[in-house]
Amino acid sequence: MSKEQRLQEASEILYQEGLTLDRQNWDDWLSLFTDDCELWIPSWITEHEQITDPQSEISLLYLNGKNYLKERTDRVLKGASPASVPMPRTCHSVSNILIEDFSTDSMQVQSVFRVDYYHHKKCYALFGHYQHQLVQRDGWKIHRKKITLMNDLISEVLDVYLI
Amino acid sequence: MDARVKDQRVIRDFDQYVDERMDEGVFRVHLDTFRDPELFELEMEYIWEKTWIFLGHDAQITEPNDFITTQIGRQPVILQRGDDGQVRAFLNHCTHRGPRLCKTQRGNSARHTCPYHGWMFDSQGKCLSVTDEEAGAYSEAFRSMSHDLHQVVRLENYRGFYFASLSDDVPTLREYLGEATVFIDAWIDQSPNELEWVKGDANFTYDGNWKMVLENCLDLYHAKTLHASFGTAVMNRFKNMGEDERKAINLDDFVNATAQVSYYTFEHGHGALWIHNQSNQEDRPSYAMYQEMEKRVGAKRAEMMLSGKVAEILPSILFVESDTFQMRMISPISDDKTEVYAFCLAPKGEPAEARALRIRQYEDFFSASGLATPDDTSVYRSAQEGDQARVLEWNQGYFRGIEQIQQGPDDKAKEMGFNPTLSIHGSIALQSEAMYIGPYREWLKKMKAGQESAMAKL
Repeated sequence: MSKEQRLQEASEILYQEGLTLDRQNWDDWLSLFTDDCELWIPSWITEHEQITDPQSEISLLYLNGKNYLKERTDRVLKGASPASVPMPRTCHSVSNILIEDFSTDSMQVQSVFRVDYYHHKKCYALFGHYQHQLVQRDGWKIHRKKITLMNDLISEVLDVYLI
Repeated sequence: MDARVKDQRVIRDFDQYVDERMDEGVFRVHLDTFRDPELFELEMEYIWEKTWIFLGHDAQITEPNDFITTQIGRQPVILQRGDDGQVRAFLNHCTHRGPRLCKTQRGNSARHTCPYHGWMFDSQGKCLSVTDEEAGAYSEAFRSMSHDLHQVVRLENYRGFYFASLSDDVPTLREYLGEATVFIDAWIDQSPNELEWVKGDANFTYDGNWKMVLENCLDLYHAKTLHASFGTAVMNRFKNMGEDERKAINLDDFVNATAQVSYYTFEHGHGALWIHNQSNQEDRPSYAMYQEMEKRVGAKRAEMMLSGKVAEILPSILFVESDTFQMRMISPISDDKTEVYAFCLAPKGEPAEARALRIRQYEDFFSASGLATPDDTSVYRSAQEGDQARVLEWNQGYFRGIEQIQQGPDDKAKEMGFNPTLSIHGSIALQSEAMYIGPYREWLKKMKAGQESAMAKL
C-alpha cells in the first residue's frame, strides 16, 4: 500500500471530521472515533513548551474514551448548556496533511487546522496543529487526536466542536 | 495621572451606587458599577492601585532569577527572585523609554536588556548599564537619578502567596488578610510540606465586568440551574460508565438540601463560604491524605480542609474549592472585559492517583474547556449585555438571605475560633446572595477614600 494512498485515506477522514462538526452531525462525528479514543489538548507552560503528561499536569482538554466525547455532544443536543445556546457556526479548515508514519493497520497523520466561528455577532478563530493516530477497525478510525492550540487564552468557551 | 485631567474630574457621590437601607430590608448595587467605563477607571485608581493585589506564589519562582509577569490592575509587573534569592516586584517598564523588559508569562533570566536602546538591568532590578553613557552628554541631573527598575512600593507574602501594592498607604498584608487566613491556611496545611504548583496554563477571558466572577464564585444559587447540564453529565457517567468513573461534585447536596453552609464577611470586605457535612468527601482528592491531616491538625480543622469552600481576597484573587482547588487571579481589562488567570496548587506528596483525580476534576469543572465554567463565562457576558438596559438602575440580586445576616461569628466560626464581621448560616437551600453586602460596603469605602485622597493631592 503506497504512502500516496494512505494520504488520500487520511485526508478523507480529516475532512470528514471537520465537516461533520460544522454540520453538527454528532453521531457521524462520533462514529469516526474508536471506543477507546483519546482527545488531548495539552496546555502551554512557556511560550514554546507544552506539558507532556496529562496525569500530572493541567491540560486544556483531556478526554479518554468515546463516552466523554459523547457527553459533550449530548450536552449540545439537549441545549442545556447556555455556553452552546445558540451554537456557534463553525468552519473547520484542515490542510498541510502529512503521513508521518504508517503500517498496515495504523498511521500517524500531521496537519494544521484553523477553525473560524461566529458567536454572538463576533468572529473568532482557533488555530494550530493536529496529530491524528488512525487505526484500522472496519475502516480507518481516529484512535488519538492531539491538538496543539496556538492561541490558548480561551474566549469564554473551548469545546470539541470548536477545535 | 496628569494633573490637568484630574482638575477636570467630576467629584462623584459614590453613595448613589450602593443603596443600603438594612432596616427596610433593602440592599442594592447600581448597575452603572458594571457598565460605566469612567467608573471602571476610578475603580482601577481607587481600589486596584491602592490596595494589596495578588501577584503569584512562591512555587512559581523557586530558582534564582525565575520570574513571572503579571499585573496590578492593568499595570504590567514582574515578580522575580533575584540572584540573591530575594523576591522583588518591579513595574515591567524600562526606565529609559518604557518597553516591557520581560515579554513572556514566565522565565529565568539574570539580566534584562531592553530591546530598544540596550539599557541593561540585573535580576535585582539594578541598572547595570546605560548604553554609551560616556558619549551621551548627559546632564548632572540625569547622572544623579537612579536608573534602576521601579520597584512596586510594597511587596509582602503570606506563607508563599505574594501580594503587592502600588500605594504605601496600606496596612501590613497580614492585617489586610485578617482572619480570612483561616481559609487560606485550610488549603496550605493540607500537606505537611505545603503546596506545589501543578504546571499548565488554562486561562480565559470573558466579555463582562470583573466583579461578575467575584460574585459568581460565592454564589451557590446558580448551581442547580446554570450547572444543570454538568449534574446530568455526572449522573450519566455513573449510569453508563460505573460508579468509579471520574468522581465529581455531588449535586445531591443541592437537591437534597442536607448540607449546611456558612457565609462570612471579614475585615476589608473579604468574603468566604464553607459547606458543612458534604456527602461525598471520600471522592475528593484531598481525602487521600485525610488520616495524616487529621492526626496533624485535629478532626475539626481536617474536616474544614476537606470541605467545599471559597475565599475571596478583594479585589484580585479567588480561592475556590468545589471539589478540587483552584485559584483564580482576576485581571480587569475594561468595564466589559476581564481576563482570569488560573492556578492549580496541590499538596506536595499527594499520591499519583489522587493527583490524577484532582487534575481531571479541575479540568472537568473549572476549565473554560470544562463542563461548568463556560456556562459561567457565557452568563457573565449575557448579564453584561442585559445590563445595557440603561433605563434600569438596579437589579434584585442581593436580597436572598438578607434576613439571615448576623453580626459577628456563627457557631461554626466560634467552634474554629475565628471572627468574621458578618455571618450567614443556613441550609444549603438558603443559597444566600446577601454575603455580597460586605464586599460592596468595602467597595464603597475604598471608592470614597480613594477620591478623598486624590482630591487632597490637587
